[in-house]
Amino acid sequence: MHLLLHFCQWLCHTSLGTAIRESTYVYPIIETIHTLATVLLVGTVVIVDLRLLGLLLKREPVSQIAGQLLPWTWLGFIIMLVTGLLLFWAEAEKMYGNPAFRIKLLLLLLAGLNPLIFHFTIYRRVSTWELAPVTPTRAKAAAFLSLTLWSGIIITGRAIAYFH
Amino acid sequence: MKNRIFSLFICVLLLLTAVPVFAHHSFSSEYDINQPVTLKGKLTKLEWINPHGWIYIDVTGADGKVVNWAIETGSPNALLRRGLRKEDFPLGVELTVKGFRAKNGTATANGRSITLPDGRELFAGSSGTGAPRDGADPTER
Repeated sequence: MHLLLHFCQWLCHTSLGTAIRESTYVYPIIETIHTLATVLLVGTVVIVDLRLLGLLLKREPVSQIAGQLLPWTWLGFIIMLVTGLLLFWAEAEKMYGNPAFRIKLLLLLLAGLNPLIFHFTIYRRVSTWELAPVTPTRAKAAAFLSLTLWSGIIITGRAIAYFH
Repeated sequence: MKNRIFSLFICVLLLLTAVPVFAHHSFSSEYDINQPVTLKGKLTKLEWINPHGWIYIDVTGADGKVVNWAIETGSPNALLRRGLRKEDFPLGVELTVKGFRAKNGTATANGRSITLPDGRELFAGSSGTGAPRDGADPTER
C-alpha cells in the first residue's frame, strides 16, 4: 500500500524520528524500557490467564485477582504503547517491510480483541463461576489464546532484529 | 456444539503456535569470517543510526572501477564507546576499513575496524567477530 509506505518514510524522517534514530542514549533507553515494561504488561496478563486455567491462586476469586491487577496491566500497556510508538517512529520505513513487525502488529490486534470479547461475554457472569473448581471452557479458551498470542508477540518482537 | 467450538479453538491455537524459522541476525549468518576485506576509499554516505550504523565508501578496484561499499557498524552508543565520533566522518574523508565480506557477495561488509586519516585505528563496534582480541590481528594485546 503505497500511501502507507510514504507515510512511514515521512514519519521516520521527521526531526523526532531522526533524533531518536541517531541518538547515543535515547534509543537504547527507550528500547530498554520497552523490554522491561513487557514484564509489567505480560506478567499481569499471564497471572490472570493462569488463574483462569486453574493453575495458580485457585483459592482466590477470579474477579479479585483480575480487578486488582488490571490497573497495572493498563500501566504496562501505556508504557509499551508509548515506547513502541517512539521506536516505530525512528524506524518506520524499515518496519514497513519487516515481516516480523507486521505479524507482531496482527497478533497485538488479536491480543486486544480477545480480552474484549472475554469481558463482554463469559466474564459478565464471573460471579457465578469464579470460585468453581473448574473454570468454564470459554474462559479457559480465552486464557489459552491470550498466552499463545502474547508469546507470539514477544517472539516476533524479538525477531524484528532478524530481518532487514 | 460446545465441544466443537472448543476443538476449533484448539486448532486455531495450534496453528498460531507454528513458529516460522527465522534466519539469524548473527555475524556468521550474514558475513563470512573467511572473507576478510580491507577497503580504502572516500566516504560518500554516513548513517550514524540505531540499531546498526552504516558507512559507505567509494573503493577503486585493481581494474580501476569504483565500487561503493556499504559497511555495517555498531550503534552510535557502541561507536562512541569505541572512541569514534560523528565528527570523524565528514563526507569525502579518506578511510581504511577492515572487515568481513557479506555472504551474498554484494559490496557489503561487517566493519571490524576503521582507520582514520590521523592514523587512529578504532574498532567499529559491530556484531560478532570484530571485537577486540578476536584473533584477527596478532598485534593486539
